Amino acid sequence: MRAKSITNDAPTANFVFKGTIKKLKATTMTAATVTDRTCIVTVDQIIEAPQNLAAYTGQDITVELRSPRKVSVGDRMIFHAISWLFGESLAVRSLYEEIEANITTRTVDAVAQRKQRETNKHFKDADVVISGKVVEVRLPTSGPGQKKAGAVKGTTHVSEHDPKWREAVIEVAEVHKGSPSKRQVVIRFPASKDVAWRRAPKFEAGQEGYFMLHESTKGAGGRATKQGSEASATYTVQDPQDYQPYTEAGGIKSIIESEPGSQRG
Amino acid sequence: MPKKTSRTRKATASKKASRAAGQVFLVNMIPKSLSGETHQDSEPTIAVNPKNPLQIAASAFTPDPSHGPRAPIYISTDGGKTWTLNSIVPSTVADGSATADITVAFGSSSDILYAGIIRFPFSGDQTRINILRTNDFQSSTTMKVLVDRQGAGVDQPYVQAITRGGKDFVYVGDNDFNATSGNTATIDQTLDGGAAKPSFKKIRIESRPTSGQDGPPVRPAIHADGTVYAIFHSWKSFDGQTGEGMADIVVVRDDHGGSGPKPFTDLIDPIDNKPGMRVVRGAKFNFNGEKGQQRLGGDVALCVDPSNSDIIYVAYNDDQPNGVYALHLLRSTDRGRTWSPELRRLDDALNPALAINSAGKIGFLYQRLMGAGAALQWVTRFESSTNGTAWTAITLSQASANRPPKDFDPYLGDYEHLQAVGKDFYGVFSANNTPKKANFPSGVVYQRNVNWDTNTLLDVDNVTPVGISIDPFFFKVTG
Repeated sequence: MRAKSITNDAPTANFVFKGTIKKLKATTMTAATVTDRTCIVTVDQIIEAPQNLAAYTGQDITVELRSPRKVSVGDRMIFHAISWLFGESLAVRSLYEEIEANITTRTVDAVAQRKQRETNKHFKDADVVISGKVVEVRLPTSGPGQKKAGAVKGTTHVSEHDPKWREAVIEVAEVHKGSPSKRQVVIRFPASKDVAWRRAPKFEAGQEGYFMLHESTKGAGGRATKQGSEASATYTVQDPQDYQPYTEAGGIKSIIESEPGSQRG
Repeated sequence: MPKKTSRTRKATASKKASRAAGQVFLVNMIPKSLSGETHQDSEPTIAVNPKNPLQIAASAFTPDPSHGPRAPIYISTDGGKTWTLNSIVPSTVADGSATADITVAFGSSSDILYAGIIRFPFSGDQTRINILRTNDFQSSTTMKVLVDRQGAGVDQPYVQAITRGGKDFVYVGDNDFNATSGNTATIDQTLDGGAAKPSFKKIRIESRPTSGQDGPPVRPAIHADGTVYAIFHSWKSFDGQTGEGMADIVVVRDDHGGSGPKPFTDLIDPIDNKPGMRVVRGAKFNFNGEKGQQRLGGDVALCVDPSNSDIIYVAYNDDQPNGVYALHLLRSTDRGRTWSPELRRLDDALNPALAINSAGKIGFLYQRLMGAGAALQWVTRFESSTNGTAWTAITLSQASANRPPKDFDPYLGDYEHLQAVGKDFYGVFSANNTPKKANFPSGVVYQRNVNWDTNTLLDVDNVTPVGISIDPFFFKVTG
């Protein structure tokens, strides 16, 4: 079985690790074609990875180097890679390599590091970041929850993928970014447990935590979702990063605690 | 030792042949490299390449494990013995690209794999359909987008394909909310799926007034002689508060591959002279129903005999008194005009999948909720029959319906799939993955790390325990 390595996007490395070249022009799985760029690498230390790749320390995997280069068995490098194939083994494509001797890395929690980096970006992109408490959850009072956008005359729209929009009214305790002028912010969220909405946070009265709100949201819910004036603004929350309970360490809490310029409401 | 005579050799060969028929091969599709995964991989489908049955593609609600920009399909090149994830489906989610709804199908002799998906992201609640194609399902090139449309939303694309005269005829059943007057059951079809830019046509197959729409499942079935059938759930009443409704189970037919001026109008119901035979009228359903953590809402399935396009089987679900969710099986031998009495009824069974092999044997896959309380189980069975009355049942999986807890809907899937190639049946279902021999009476092979003595899943290090979840399982039953 052959597998070509063609990239169609401008990818970002999602698996960064230190490894030792174990065998050249070889692979650990039949699905990956052996070329002069493929080699077997032992993963020595994972620097950044999603959860599914976090347990690969000590494992031999297939790495396709960015380009043919002079490497030898025993060479230690840092690979910035993206995934390629998941079969009897793992195959990744290296976007670029660094000679390990030139880099000093400390022991890190690879999954937490990656997650924090993503949270940092989400915070940076957010228009409003608040901490507060959900005081009420209700059916939408206006907007898409009341009337289906783009509905066709004479046709209803009952689907297993219906979001079942609800509104959560948040009593603002503190403002960490942006300047909502009211003490309450309304956020719209999909209460549906369907696969299309499984990632979206669900809310109920009494929940407390941090909320990262975006004026224009694209994702499973798509279009710009801020409605009305900022005083009565409704934000749509669909990304799991949009909410973090107070009890959860790291994430938004770490950012706020390290941001001296965070506004206080 | 007595010398083998010709008669003895023939008897031995015959015995071998009969031993070979009915053999079951069952594989947990999660690859070894994902031994640590605990995702709810529900709603599977499968496509076997009829030209080369060693090549099989499959799908489930499995997200890209490395959080890349494309969703994966499962691929096998050894007839299903081993599986690899190949992320080539253009559907992007930040923390694990996946789709909402996906089905796959090969052209029968083109080697081309087609997919029908609900693609992420989509705006509001208007689901976005994509019809995709790849000429090489082993390649890591992103699948080519043939159709990308949304409007008011399009739901549950179900793709089938066949090669005739060197061209791929591709039919995608879907529920299209862009249709006016509630006639939403639709077939998106092309008569040349392999062309550089295939032209797709939307064909509304609902000819009667509805309660505002049809139900999500629209399932085409194709015969090599150009006959195409489709079955759908025609809603006659629906209560948005309770989720209760009533539907007709309708079968339509086209005798010319959908190429005529009025596609899918060749089967007329003599009662009202409209296209589409109402095989069952007034089937009750509840769109908000649930059993064993699996949501309900009205399942339908249809298959056609590859040797005789007059013969079709349909399966459908309805709500019965006392809360029973019944699965029914019927047959027609005259192209859908008349129907047999009920051949099978199974209470609290769902996710029917049907196929007929080249010898005319019908295969019937379903999942049934059995037992009660702590002993409640989902039992996945494959049954077969040469006449529709005497059935041979194989239990593929029987595991707790209470564990693991549901992560999202659907728990097992709104469908599963069965396909016949030659005399063999190939299928896929999702189930509780607890590695316990008693859960798999017909045997099973796991690629992911397990300890069968402690009934424990293990991570890639083959040491760290991993929690149970829902996995897709592939099976083959020799005909």
